[in-house]
Parts: sequence; C-alpha cells; structure tokens
Amino acid sequence: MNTPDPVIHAPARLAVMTLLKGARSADFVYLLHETGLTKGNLATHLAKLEAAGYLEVEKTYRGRVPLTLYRITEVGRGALRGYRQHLVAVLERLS
Amino acid sequence: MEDDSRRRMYQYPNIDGTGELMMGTALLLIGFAGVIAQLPINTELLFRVLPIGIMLLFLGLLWFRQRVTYPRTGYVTPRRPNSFTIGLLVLTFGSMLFKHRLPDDIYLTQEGYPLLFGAFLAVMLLLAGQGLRRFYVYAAVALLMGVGSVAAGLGSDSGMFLTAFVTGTVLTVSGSRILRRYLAEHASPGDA
Repeated sequence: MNTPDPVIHAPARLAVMTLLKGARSADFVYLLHETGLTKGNLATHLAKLEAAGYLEVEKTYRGRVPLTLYRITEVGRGALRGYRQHLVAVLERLS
Repeated sequence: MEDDSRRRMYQYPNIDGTGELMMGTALLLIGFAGVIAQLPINTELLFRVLPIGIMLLFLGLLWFRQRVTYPRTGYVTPRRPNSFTIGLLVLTFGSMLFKHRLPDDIYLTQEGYPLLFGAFLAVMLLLAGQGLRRFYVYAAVALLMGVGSVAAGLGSDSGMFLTAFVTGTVLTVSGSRILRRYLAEHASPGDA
C-alpha cells in the first residue's frame, strides 16, 4: 500500500491545508486562531509546507500594519487531492 | 472537516458583532428619521444626510475591523464570494426593478409595504448570518414586525419605520453583547 504524503499527514499541517483550500488567502493570526496551535508550533508547520512548495507567503501591508498572507499553491492543491484519494482508497479497503 | 472550516470562514465576519452593530445602528437611524418626519419641520435635509450617515457607519465598521478585529483573530479572504454579497446585489437590483414595475396604488406599495420591508430585511439577515442561529432570530423579528405593523393597520411609512426601529434595537443590543464578549475572549496583540 502507498504511504500517505508525510508533509500533509501531520494533523496540524492537514488542518492548515484544509483551511487554506477554501481561502484565497489567510494571515498567520487567522490560522493561529482556527488551528489552536501555539505561535512557534504553527510557524514550524507553515515553514515545512512552504519548503515542500505547498504554500506561498506574501508579506504586505494593510495601511501601515504589516501583514503576512498564506496561500495554497497548485502543487499544494494537487497534494491535498492526492492525500484525500489515498484516504478514500484506505477506507474502501477497510470496508 | 473541510465543510466545517469553509462554513466558519463565511461566518467569520460575524465573529465580533460589529456587523450587527452597524446594521442595527443604520436601522435605528432610519427609525428615528421616521419619528422626526412626523414633526412639523422641514425634513428634506435629514433624508439627504441619512444615506451619508449610513455610509459613514459602514466605513467605521471597516476601520474598526482593521484596528481591532484583524489583529486579534486574523484576516481571511474566502476563495469564492459568499452568498451574502451575491444575494445583496441580486436583492438590491431586484427590489429596485420590482418596485419600479409595481403600480403605486397596489397593496404591496401602500398598506402592505411594511410586510415587504420586513421580508426584505429578513432575507438580508439570513444571508448575512451564513447559518448562524442568532440571525434566524433577527430575521424572525424583522418579519414579525412587518406582519404586525400591517395587522395593526399602521400605514406604510409608520409601519416601515417601526419595523426598522425594533429590528435595529434588537441587532444593536445583541451586537454590543457579542462585541463585549469577543473583546473579553480575545486579547489584543499588545496585551498578550
């Protein structure tokens, strides 16, 4: 049996990817609030996702307030789709 | 999990109660304008200033979210525009077209107008709520006020202003409570 994508398989990273799938972009504070992770923990997971090419980061400003926005990339969408297909295949084998 | 996170994303603008405060205050202004309109004074300037006041409220809402909400719980842009935006556009243009095509002497534009207004408010509130339970209550209040005004024979203007006033009061009180709870539960970045 194929193994699931280890980058997405971690619950925290799966939560982040799922949140960003439905969003055009989201900032760090929103992801922090929705996932319930600590700042350091979330930053580590976001860095891993970015290193894998699943996320892109944009540092910008809203007025004078700095803003760090995260977006899922097409590679990330494809990886999430593949992960979902893997889970469906596993569940079908179990049933 | 995906459906739940998407639903929460569309409900996110309602997290701090400021949307309800803004809508409630706008409706209260409309309600007060109706009361003042009954006085024997020239109210033409009032009804010209009223839309500007509502626009300023909306800008105030944007400013508040920028300064208070987004630093506390963050910022997100959904991938697709939510049903409230689309619904509001459809309702606004649809109601303008509908009213334009209606004769001026039929029930819905005369005695029945508060019912139409209450129904319009109810639909807007349901769209804005994105499934949040409290918005079903707000919509019910708007609709019941519209029905009640017509049943009481209040007349089109009085009924409309009373519907606006009562619905606005409910929204403002509820929005204030939600905002107070939101500020208590979410420290500003400076306080953390």
